[in-house]
Amino acid sequence: MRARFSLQSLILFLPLGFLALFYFYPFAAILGFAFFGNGALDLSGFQAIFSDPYYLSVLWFTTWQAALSTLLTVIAALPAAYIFARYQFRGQTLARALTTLPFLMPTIVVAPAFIALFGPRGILNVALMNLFDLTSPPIQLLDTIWIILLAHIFYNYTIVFRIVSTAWANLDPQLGNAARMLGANRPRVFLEITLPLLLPAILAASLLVFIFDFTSFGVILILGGARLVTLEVEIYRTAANLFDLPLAAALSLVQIFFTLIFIFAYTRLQARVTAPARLRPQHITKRALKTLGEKIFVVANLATMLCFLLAPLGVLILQSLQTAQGFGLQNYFALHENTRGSATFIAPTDAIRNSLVFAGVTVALAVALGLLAAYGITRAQKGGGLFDALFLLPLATSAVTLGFGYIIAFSRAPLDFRAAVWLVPIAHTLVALPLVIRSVVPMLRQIRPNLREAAATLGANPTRVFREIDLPIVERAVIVGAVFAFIISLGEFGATTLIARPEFTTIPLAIYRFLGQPGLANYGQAMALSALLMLVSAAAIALMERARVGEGAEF
Amino acid sequence: MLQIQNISKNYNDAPLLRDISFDVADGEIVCLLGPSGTGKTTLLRIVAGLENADAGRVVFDGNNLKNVPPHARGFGLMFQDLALFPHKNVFENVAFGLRMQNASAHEIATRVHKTLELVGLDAAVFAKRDVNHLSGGEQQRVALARTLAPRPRFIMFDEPLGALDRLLRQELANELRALLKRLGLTALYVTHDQDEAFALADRLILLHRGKIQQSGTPLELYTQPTSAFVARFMGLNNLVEIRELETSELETGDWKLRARTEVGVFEIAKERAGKENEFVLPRPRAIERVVEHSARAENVLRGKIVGTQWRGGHQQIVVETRAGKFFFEWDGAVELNRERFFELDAREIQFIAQGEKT
Repeated sequence: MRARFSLQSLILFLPLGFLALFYFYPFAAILGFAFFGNGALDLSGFQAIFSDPYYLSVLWFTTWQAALSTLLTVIAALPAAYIFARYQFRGQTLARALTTLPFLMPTIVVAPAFIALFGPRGILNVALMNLFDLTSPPIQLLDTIWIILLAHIFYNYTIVFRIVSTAWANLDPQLGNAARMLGANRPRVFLEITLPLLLPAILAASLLVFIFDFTSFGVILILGGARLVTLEVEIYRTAANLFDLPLAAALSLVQIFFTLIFIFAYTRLQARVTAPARLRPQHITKRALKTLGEKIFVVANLATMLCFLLAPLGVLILQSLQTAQGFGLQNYFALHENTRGSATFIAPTDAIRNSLVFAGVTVALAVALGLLAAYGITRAQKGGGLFDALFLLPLATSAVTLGFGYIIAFSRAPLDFRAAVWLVPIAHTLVALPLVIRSVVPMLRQIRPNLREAAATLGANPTRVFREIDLPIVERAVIVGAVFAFIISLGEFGATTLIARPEFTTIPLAIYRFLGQPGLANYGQAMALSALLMLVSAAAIALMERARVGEGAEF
Repeated sequence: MLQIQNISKNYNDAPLLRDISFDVADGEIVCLLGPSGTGKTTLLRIVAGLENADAGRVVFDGNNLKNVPPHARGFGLMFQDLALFPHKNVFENVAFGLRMQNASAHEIATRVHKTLELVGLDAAVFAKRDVNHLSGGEQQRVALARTLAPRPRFIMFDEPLGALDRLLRQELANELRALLKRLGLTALYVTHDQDEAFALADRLILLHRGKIQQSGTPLELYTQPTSAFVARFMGLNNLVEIRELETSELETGDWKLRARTEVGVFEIAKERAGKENEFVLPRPRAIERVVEHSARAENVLRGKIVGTQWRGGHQQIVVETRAGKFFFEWDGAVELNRERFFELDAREIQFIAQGEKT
């Protein structure tokens, strides 16, 4: 027993050490700065936050935009959740997979996609201007709350859709029938039976969406303009533009405090959702489309859903092909040209190369550490759950907070890494690690000892058992985890923007820079780079969907 | 032929198996029967080589298997929870053992096809199916096919029908016995369900508290249980503890045993008694007459019929006595709740040992 334990601590040692150095240490640095930023105990930062009308308005805006976004997302996703739970139709699996696409897209792709759709140069405005001979764009959504709400719905639609539709599919239709036999009409059945039973799932999904909207960064920074500022954006500005590190630390702590409360509430709810009262096989809960009304209802819903979720991405490609000379690939060819002739200019192609290198390192690190951690967690006789939760923590920390923590933790002795390029893939690894672990652990748990024993009694020697049982099962989980790590690294914006050195810029940073500069050429290049990032991410996601087996746990 | 020799195994410092020995002859189906937690599965795992015994040997065809790893034993084992490989489809699951024998692709294809048909699955329909999406019964059949396909020289079953409902279990047990006999397979089958064991076994081994309580054909165990434990396990519950025992010689020269109990005196021929006589067991068909007044001094129960029910073409009556309820088959007239004397046939009374306490 003693020997086993030491082997276990050895397996967990590396990932835990990584977590301690690159998560808890920066976290501690933020704590230190928030309370002792100027040497002595100083609470003026917190005082300012809770008395200054400006910060109170930021807090208030952060909260209500998140609440409203969540509410609208739930309303938008409920019909599709019902359709997918109760009806059986062709193309269901594909449509379901397509809904995940927006959620997995980097913010730095989604924001340009919404600019491509609704921006002054966007496809809708151009079409309307041509159609009605207008001189100025009629749709003015940029820098307003509306485009933020739309982008948030677009982003988190699939969370509500998936969680609620799974819960709905597991709901016994017999209960509704019983209520109808007792005299309830359809609306009554929905209000008195369906809704109360679905409520835990809806609440859990809402909380998750709320957390994402509360800490949303790229969407607000790019689409919200100068006036619409959330806590996350404020932390970024205070740290990167105002260099008021103690105040930024205090803001970070306030945000961490709120998110921790939400996450705690979410995990309590989640536990209730994952234990359905009565599971029913699908052929009982699902039925084919029969009446014309049903068909119209389903088709109209699917069309709206897919149009809303896929149009921004499609339009992004269209706009990337639009140049001053009409349709063409010029925007893509221009990616390696120094159009401004500036000496400090770094070509987007260099950013692409940097991003690919960072992504490669992230994948290698996240998979290696994730495998070790997953083996450690599944083999641990005691404390497996604790380690599991520990490794999930980075997921609960916003990207800007993480980047900010790195700035203050690794810019002074004893760990002065300011010049270090590798902090970027390290930060990406930290964000990706929980997802790698999350995809590998259930797979490892699936390999119950009796699978190996069954293989042995069928004549497989121990090497053969590993090759035939362990490897193929874990392999797919590793592919899924690796793709997650790859997409996260390629698209990571919040942390990277704070810690990347200017000469090692990445694709998201280059897109952000292009968006901030005037002129059609810059706009075109931003679109081209975003479209490229989107296509690569989509290809990776497609690879992952193929590797995924069965219906795994959701979120 | 399989020989289990003096196997002992401790679990958490408590003895789980104590000095177990038995043989399984070629072509024989032996059922290990016993309540759960008695070490049946552990014994199976020791035979499979998945666990090591603390003492004793497993010998097959004269060879000690001590140093033979599980994959080299050529045994088949069907697991309680089936252990189908979730990442392989039906065909790949069934083909696994054949691939381990380096069989040719053609041979694998024909053999898998044949085995699937053998267990009652249409190969054309099922070969490509995902094992995770099969019904419980279909998964059982795939697991059986996977175990049979590599032609194991000895096959073991660990409560493979446990998850099914009673009727289906009974049906599959009959089907499985027919199949095993047709293939001439030697098998060791573990179950806690006596009906399943009766349907399957050539020979039963009743295991409890790590020891073999009794072994024999189903008929032997039912007609000649050696202990109160075995009797109860076989569904024979008419047991009365013996308080005093005496031996007497009749004028004819025969020896008789007399047992004094709470509900009267029982007397049987000495040949019908066991080595240890601690309980009286009137068998279900022991009643000769039900009368209002009896002149008999022994082999008579006093009590009232408190219930009747039909069981397999017989009327079963429940007789309440001072020492609790007795169950008999009795097709005569019944008057409920009247004090009566139940005269018993001495040839349907056994004296047996107590055995393990349940």
